[in-house]
Amino acid sequence: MPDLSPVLLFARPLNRLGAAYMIVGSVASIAYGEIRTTNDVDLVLEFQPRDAVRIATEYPAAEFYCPPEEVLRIESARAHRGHFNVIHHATGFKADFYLKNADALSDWAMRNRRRIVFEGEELSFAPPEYVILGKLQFFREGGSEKHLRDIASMLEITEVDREFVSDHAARLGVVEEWRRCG
Amino acid sequence: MSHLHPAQRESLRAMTPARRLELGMQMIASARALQAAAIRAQHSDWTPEQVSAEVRRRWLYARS
Repeated sequence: MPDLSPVLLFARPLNRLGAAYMIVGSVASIAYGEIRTTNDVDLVLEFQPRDAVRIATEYPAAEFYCPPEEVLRIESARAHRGHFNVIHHATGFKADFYLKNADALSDWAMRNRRRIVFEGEELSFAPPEYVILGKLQFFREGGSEKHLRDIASMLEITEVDREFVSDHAARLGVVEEWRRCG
Repeated sequence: MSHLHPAQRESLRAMTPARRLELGMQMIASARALQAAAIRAQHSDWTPEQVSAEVRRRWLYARS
């Protein structure tokens, strides 16, 4: 059974493309906090309509489900919250690609990505503050306690600029959720 | 709202992010191998391909 690391399955093609991306979500919370399993990889990607062909080529249909180029173009044209999935057929691993919003926080996170070398591959991770703010928003929208648990472990394990998170939590309307993280 | 044992916290703090990532990815591989073993035990007549397909199906539709 092919049991490649899910993070490499999806990030390596982006490195080959020279794409600007950052890993967020549960995989980032593993790097910054508690070790746990996950079945998907969340990435924020800078993506232009012209990149659709290159993405489709890097995730070939024989190995991956990747949306048609037309769908990728439509998603990339969204001003906010563009999104698509890629699924690896052989393992069932899934990647959620969130297209980078044109806002100051996302710009800051992209400029301050952290490089982690894993199995010889340099991977780009969002700063922990950005990962936490993302999880606070996911918790507000879906209510899954796993996000709060991930945040708690990141706060315990990794140095986090809490003032920065507080400031942006207020702007994003997740102050109550942030308070619950203590 | 800490849920980590103090010793666990210290161990995790002593690791680099790359090491935590490595252990996380190993944990995923182990979970899949364990799941495959459990499926084989439950369905001794299944081929390796059927076992792989079932692991894939469970991960694809799992809630993480």
